[in-house]
Amino acid sequence: MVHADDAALIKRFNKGDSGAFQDLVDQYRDLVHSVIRQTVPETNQAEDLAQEVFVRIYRGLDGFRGQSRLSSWIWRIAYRVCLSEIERLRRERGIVSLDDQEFAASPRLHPDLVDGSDALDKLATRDLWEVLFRKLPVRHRMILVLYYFQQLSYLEIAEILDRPMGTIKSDLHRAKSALRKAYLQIKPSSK
Amino acid sequence: MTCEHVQELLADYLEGRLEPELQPQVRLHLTQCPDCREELEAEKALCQWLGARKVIPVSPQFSRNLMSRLGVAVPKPPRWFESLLELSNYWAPTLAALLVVVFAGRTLLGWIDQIRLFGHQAVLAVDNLPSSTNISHILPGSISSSFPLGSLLILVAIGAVTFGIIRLLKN
Repeated sequence: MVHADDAALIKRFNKGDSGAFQDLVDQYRDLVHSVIRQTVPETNQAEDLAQEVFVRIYRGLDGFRGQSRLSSWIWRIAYRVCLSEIERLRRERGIVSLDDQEFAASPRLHPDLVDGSDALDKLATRDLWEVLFRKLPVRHRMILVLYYFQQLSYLEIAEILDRPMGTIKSDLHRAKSALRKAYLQIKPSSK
Repeated sequence: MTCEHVQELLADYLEGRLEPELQPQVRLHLTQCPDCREELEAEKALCQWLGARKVIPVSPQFSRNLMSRLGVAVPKPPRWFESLLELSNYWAPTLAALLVVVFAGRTLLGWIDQIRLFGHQAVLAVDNLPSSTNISHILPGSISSSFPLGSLLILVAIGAVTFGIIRLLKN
């Protein structure tokens, strides 16, 4: 069922009201930008990627049939844009993000980042979390961002990422567990 | 209860969503296990960090760049103008129709009077002048001066009607 606000906005858009799309951009631009910035490896690309999200929204909005909430559809597009960016970085510059399946088999962060090196040891706690967070596979990062930053439910995240709700719950748990363990390994002083 | 099991339940324990029968078991385990207590502290710190993430605004030119990329007109009218447009759905056609009737009628009547007056004056003038006199300079000026005002008002009325019709069609 289409949410009433979503339906009104889509109706306006389909009638050629350019203000409808502008309203949508105004409502989501900072959120989309924030989520992308937290999800992709290179934060300076976040604004361009956010633009790409809105271009895809603009081109696809007239075909949106309301099988999900408009916001879920927008987050799904944002997720796909993040995946494309990570694939581009891998292909063009060899920047590798931890693979989903690899992480699922062994939910640990790369050892080169969790060896308790001096550089990491000197990081402030919040920066350390940031470094570790960025080492998670993109899907796990997205799940954490949508759950904690966007405060979406497991069900909504499952809908966005097109996975069963149980998988989302266990992925969230795995991601947090890996982060905690890496954090405790690097911060022996906290013991 | 094993450490692995307790660590799986830490998030629910912190958020108070643990099933009531599990709560004392987890609490007991935590009092006895330093590793799990450490995990609990790390979980608290992680949730705090995750929850404290702020919205990062886009640059001021974001919308402009986006709209120009899409070829969509950028300027968005101010809210008072939008409200006025909304209201115009109702008052514009009505007002426009009234304007058309009033001003068209007034102008038409004015023209008829002017023509009648002109005819009357012309007859009187011609009767009182020598036959060789050029009469073009004594034509009444009121016809030419009243015509543009009436036309202007009609044009305004037509504009208002068109505006109202466009608004109705758009909705």
